[in-house]
Amino acid sequence: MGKEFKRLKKYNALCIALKATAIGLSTGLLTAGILLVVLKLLTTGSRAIFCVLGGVALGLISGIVSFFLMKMNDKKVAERLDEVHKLNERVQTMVEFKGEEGTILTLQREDTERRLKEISSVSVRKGAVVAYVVTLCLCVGVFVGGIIAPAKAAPTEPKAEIPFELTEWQKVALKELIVYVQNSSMKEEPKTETVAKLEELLSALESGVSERQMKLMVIDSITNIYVVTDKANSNDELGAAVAALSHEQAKPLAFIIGSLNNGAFASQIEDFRIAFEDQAKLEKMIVLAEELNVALDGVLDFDETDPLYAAVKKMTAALNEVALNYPDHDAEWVKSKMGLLTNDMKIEVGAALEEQSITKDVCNHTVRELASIFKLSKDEIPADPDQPAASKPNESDDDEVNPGAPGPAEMEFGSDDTVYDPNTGEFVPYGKIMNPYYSAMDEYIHSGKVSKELGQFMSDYFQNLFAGLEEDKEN
Amino acid sequence: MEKINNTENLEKVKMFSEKIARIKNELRKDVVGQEDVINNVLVAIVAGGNVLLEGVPGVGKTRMVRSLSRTLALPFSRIQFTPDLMPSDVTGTNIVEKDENGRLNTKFRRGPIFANLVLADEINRATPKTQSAMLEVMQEHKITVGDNTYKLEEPFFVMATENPVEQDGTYPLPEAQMDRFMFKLIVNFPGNKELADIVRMTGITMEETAEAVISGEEILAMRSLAATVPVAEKVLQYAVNLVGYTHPELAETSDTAKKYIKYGASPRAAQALITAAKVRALMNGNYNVSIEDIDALAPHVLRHRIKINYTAINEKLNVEDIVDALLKENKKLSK
Repeated sequence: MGKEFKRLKKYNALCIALKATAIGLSTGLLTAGILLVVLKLLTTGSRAIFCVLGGVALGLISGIVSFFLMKMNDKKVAERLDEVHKLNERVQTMVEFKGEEGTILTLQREDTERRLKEISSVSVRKGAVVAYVVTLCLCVGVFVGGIIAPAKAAPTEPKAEIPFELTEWQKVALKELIVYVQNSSMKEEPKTETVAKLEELLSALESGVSERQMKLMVIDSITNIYVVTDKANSNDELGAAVAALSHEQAKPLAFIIGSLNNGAFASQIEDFRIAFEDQAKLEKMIVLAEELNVALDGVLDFDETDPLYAAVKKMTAALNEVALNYPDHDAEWVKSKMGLLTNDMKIEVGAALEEQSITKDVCNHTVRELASIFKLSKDEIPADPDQPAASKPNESDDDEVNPGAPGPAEMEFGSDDTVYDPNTGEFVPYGKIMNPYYSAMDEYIHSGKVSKELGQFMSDYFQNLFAGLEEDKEN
Repeated sequence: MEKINNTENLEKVKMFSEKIARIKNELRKDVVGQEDVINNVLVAIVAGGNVLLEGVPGVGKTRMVRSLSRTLALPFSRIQFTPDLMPSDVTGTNIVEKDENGRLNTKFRRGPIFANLVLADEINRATPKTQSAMLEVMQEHKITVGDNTYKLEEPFFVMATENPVEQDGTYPLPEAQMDRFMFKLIVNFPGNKELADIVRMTGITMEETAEAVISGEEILAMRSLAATVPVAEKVLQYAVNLVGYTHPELAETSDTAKKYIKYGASPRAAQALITAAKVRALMNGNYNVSIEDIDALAPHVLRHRIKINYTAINEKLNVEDIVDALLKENKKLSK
């Protein structure tokens, strides 16, 4: 084969090698770049090395395959030269008849070689070069983009749940709490639901839960107990209805009802009786009666079979009767009527208040016990959703208002929350009654009627209360 | 030794080109314009093919052939074909003669066909029977009369003319005879300038003035040399495909043939293409046949060998349009 043809054939092979390299590089970079981007988007963790290796492998394969696909034999090279340089099949003829001799064949060969000599080795098609360079640059861009693309943030691993182990004393305490509620004088409906809730809690805790789950369950139980208790007690709604009245006597009454303060109610009723005996204040009492009537009728969704509602309604009716008829009667009649009214009310309203008070007390006790058994912090204990019927009356109000009327019950250790003092029959700040309670508790513990663990628990409980009291004194 | 051989080779080719140039120069003395026709006639002469010249009266068909005969220094005869021309008028016949002793003997009297260059003027005016007398001569260069076969001297060519205008009293050449012509060349009406030159020339002389510049042996030598021009496989296949695409009945054929051709060219067309292309390449100073040569010669080789159908006629397409379409389609399919 002619020298010029061999030269151009070599050049062609070089071009093909360069093209194959460009293809291989482009493929490799593109593959690596795409893999990097995809992996970064979908997963966490750097797998750059695998992407690069994958790109290199694919690049090598594509480069080699391209080379062999594009590789040309003599015939193909001849075709290409004829096509590109418009040689009218001269090179193809020369290649095809390379082994043969003849006058014309010799001349043909020489003529072709002469024409091939005029062809520069570096006669490349600019368009093709630009295309390869642009493609390579794009692939480099994809690869660089894959490297600098931010990786997906690794998801934070959830903390391993700490298993909760229900201790024996917790189990016993919870069971004792259940018995307590069952034996209490709590209203039947909330009692049943509270017991059911506590039993459900016990069962769930025995099945094996985590610490976090335990706390959620206890909190949920407390919330449920509050809800069933509030649903059963009507003092909130009734207190709110009475509190809305403008009469000066309405607010203390509302407060008493809202706070379930039976002792204060008795005192309040006495005040009514005294007030009614004073003829000068009768007009005011008439207005109160009228307003109370309106207020009770205005509470549309009220269950009229509710004892407290019925009792207050009855009280209102009795007051109305006195208010309507007193002009036709003398003071003795009013006094007698009021005396009867107040006695009835002490019994009926008092009883209703007592019932609801006990229900509330049992509820509060249950909540405290649950918090104590399962060591809920102050912040973890859900607030009582029970809204107070009215704010505490100011001391600047009417003198007949019972000073020191107890506020709404709060679950704060060592607070100045008022509790019933059995010795005096009065509601006194919590701190004043601590010592008798502690003494009673201590005696009970040493009597052997409770388990050692429960006794320790009760002792710890009072220690915390005392600690709270000390803080209050310092403050 | 190699250098000497190369020199000899170059001389041979140089001689080829020179002879062609000299023939053209001589022809130009008598024929104005018609460069393409002259070139293709010379291609046919060197290739050993017969040529059919078609043109209106007075465009110089007969003059060209007569002038050519003068340049070739070969025995030339002209046969004016008429409807009453008999085959024996062309080929010759046996006659009865008295010898010196007075005895009657039969002797074959050669007809005008016995020449190297035969001009069959207005060949389409002769009867089919007379036309068929030319068949054996044109293909095999021999004549059979009775029991005797007479070989004609090489080189032998038939240059026929026909007038496309006059159809009355003419007999279209049968396909078998048409196939014997390597080329059918259209001699067009001369351009304005050429016509002016013709008129000027007429004023001077009506006689042909070309001189002999080449002998029969030289033509045969040129033919041998041209035959050695190589044809690449791709070019060969291109020519073969082109002829194949003229056949609508073939499975692999062109859309043009399917739509417009009744029947296609014979294998002689492919032979003619390649043979003539070799000569054309060498005449143009090339040492191999190219696709360009095939494309240039295809119309002359195919126009008289393809029969167009009524669809083409209805669409007012002639055979030239069909051949153009075939060439384009062949080019596209070859890529």
